Amino acid sequence: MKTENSPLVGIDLGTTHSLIGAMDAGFPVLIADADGERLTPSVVHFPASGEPIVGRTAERMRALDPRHTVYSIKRFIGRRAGEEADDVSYALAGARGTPVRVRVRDREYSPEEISALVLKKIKADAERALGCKVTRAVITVPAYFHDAQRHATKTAGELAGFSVERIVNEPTAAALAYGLDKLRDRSKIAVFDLGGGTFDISILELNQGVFQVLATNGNTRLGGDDIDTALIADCQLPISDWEKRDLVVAAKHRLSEEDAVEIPQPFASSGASLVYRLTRAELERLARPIVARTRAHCLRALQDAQLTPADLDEMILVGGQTRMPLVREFVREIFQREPNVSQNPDEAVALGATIQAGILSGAVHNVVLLDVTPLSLGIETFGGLMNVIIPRNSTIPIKAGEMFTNAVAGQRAMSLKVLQGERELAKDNWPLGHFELEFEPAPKSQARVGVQFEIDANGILHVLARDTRSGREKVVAMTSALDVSDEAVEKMLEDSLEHAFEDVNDRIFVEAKMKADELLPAVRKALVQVGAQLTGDEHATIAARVSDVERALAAGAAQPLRAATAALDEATQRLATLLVERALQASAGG
Amino acid sequence: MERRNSTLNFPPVSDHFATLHQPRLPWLEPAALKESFHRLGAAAHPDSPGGDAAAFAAINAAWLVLRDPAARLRHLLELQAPALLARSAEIPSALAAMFMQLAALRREHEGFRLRAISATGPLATALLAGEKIALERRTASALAQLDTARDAAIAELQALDETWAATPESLAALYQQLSFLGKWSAQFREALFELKSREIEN
Repeated sequence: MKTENSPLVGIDLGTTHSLIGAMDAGFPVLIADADGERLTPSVVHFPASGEPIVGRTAERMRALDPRHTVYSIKRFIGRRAGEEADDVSYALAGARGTPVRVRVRDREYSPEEISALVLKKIKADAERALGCKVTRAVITVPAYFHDAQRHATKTAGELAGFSVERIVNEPTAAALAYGLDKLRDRSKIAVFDLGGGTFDISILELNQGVFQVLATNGNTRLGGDDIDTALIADCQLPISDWEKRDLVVAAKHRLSEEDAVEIPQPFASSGASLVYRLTRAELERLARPIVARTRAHCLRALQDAQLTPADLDEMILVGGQTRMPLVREFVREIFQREPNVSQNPDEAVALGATIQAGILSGAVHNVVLLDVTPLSLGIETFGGLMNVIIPRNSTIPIKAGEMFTNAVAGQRAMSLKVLQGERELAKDNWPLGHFELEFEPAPKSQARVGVQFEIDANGILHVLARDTRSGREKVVAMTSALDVSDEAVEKMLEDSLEHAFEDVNDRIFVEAKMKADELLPAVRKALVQVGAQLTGDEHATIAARVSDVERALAAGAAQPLRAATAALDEATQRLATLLVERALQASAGG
Repeated sequence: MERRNSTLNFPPVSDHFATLHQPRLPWLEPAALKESFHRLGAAAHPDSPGGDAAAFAAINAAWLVLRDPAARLRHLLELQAPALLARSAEIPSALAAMFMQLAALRREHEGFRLRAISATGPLATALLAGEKIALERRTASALAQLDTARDAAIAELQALDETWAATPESLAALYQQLSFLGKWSAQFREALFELKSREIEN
C-alpha cells in the first residue's frame, strides 16, 4: 500500500477547536502550528477572492465578517436541514429533510467539505512538523454520534486526503490518555466530557491494559456554545450578536477564576465606548439550566453500567467547558466525589486519539480499547414498532443475526428499515436507511434469508444477507436515510421542530392554556390539602394570581396568559414545598 | 412476514464455553469469566496484531451469554439436553404467586407514569409526591425480594455444579426460575430509575 510508511496521526475534530498529534518515541505528542499553537479554531473564513482561511485568522473574522465565516460545523455534520436550529451567522441551504449545506459567496458546501478544510490545515501543520507526508488518521467523534454522523466524519477525513483508519469516541480517547501510565491498574472510571457543542459521559473499566467501556450516554446538542448563546441573549449592549459573542466568551473564561469582570468594547459599531459587565453569580444563573441537563445522562450511564457513584475510582473531566466551577460543582454532586482534573481538558481527547493511532500502528503495545455502540440498533416491525437487534452499550465489534422468511408463496422481496435509537415507536428513532431483501421463489415460509448486522470497531454498521438454501452471501447496500427525503423523515422533523407551527402566537396560547388548565385545579386541590399552613398574605397573593390567569384565559391573549401562569407558578412555590414536606412526613410516619 | 429470533451469534452453532476457555459448568466465577473475556478479547480484537473482527465478535457473543446465569444455563441445555428446552416445565407456585404480586405493582407503575406525564408544573408534581414516595418504597422492597430469590437460585446453581449432568431436569427448572427473576429485576430496576429521574426533570 502506498501509505504504509506514512505516520498514523490522531485528530480531535472539535466543535470549536481541532488538534492533531503523532506518536514520538512511544509517547503521544500534540503538534503545534507555525505560530506555536496546538489548538486550531475549527473556523473557516471565505474571503472575497482567494483561498479559504482556516484557524485563528478565520476566527478573528467571525465578528468582522460573520456571513462569510463558518464555525461550529460539527453541529451539522451528518444531519438533515431543519433538524438543527439555524441560529448561525452564515447561510444554510438544502431543502428540509435533505443533508444540511452551507452557502457562502454563491457556492454551496457540505459540512464534510468545511470539516475537510479544517482537517487539511492541521494535516499541513503536521506534515511541516514531521517533515513527511501524512495520509493516515484516527479521528475522534462524540460517543453519542449515530451512524450517519460517523460516516460523514469519515468522509470529511477522506476529502482532506486521509485514509481514516479508525473513528474513536472522544471520552474513550480521553480515558486512554488518562490510563496510559496506569496500565497495571484495575479500576473503574467515568469520563465527563463537556465540549463546545456536545456532551458525553462514559463509564469504563480498566483492567491491565484493557479499557472496556461499560456504558456511554450523552447529547450531541449540548455544550459550552449553549451557554454563550444564553449570555448573548442576556447581553443588553447595543452591538451585534456576533460582536457580543467575543465579549461573552472572554467573560465566561475569566469568570472561571474571577468573581466579576468588566470588559471594555473598543470596536463597537455604534462608536460609543461600552463596557460589558458580568458576575460569576449572573453567569451561573444563566448557565445552571444548561449544565443541569447533563445530570440525567450521567444517571442513565450509571444505571446502564449497573454501578453507583461509590463503585467508581475516578471521575475524569475533559472538554473546555469543564473548567467552569459550576460544572465541577454539578459533577461533584452527581458523582459524590472530587473530580480528577489531572488531564488538560482541551488536549486529552487528541492525546487519546494519538495513542489509538499508536495502538493501530504497533507503537503502543498491550493496550486495547473495547468500546460500545451508544445507540440501540433495530428494525421497524409491523405496527411501526422498533425491534432492537443490538442493544445500546453492546461491546463492538459485534454481530447479530435475524432470520426472515417469505410471508406468501413466491414472494420475491421484502423491504427492511434500519433504525438507531431508544424509543419504542420506530418513527421516533433515527432512520439509518432501508434495504431490499430478495427471496428465491419458494412456497410460503420456505425461502429463508439470514441477515447479519455487524457494527465494526468504528461504530459503523454493515449488513450482510445470506440465502440459507443457496448459501449465497451478499453485502446489502443500504440506501442511506440521509440521501432521501421521504415522508417519514419530513414527519419526524415536523414533530421535533418548534417552528413547525405557522403562527407562533397560536402555539404560545395553546401551550399556556394547557398549562393553565392543569395549574388551576392543582392549586385548588393543594389549597384544600395544605392551605391551612399559609399566611393570610400568601392566600391573598395566590387568589390574585388565580384571577389574573382566569382573566387572561377569558381574553384569549397569548403573552398575558403565559405571564400570568408563570406568576401563579411562582406564587404557589411554597404550596408545592409544603405538599412535598407533607408527603415525606406521611411516609416517615407510616 | 414471519420472523424467528436467533441468538446473537450467527450462524447459531458454537460452543461459548469453549470460546471463552471455560469448563462446561452451570456456575462460573464472575471475576474469572471477565478476566477471560478481557484477555481473549484483547488478543482477538482487530486492533491487536493478528486479531480480526469476526474472532472478536465470537468472543463477545460468548461473553454476553456466559455472564448472565439464565442465558448460560440455556446455552448449557442447548448443548447437553436440547429436548429439555423444548418441554415447557411447570411454573412453581411460589414463582407464580410472586408474579401476580409483581404484575400488580407493574400496573401501578403504569398508572402513575401516565398521571406523572400529564402533571407538568411543580404544583401538580408536588400533589403526586406522596404516591411517588410510597411507590418507590414498595418497588425497592420488591427488588430486595427478587434479589433474595435470585441469591437462593444461584446458591442452588452452585450446589448443582457437581451433579447437574446426572439430573439435567433440575437445571432446566433453575434456568426457568433465573430467567424470570432476571427479567423482573431488570424491569423493576428500570421502573425505579424512571421514578427517581422523574423528579429531576421537573
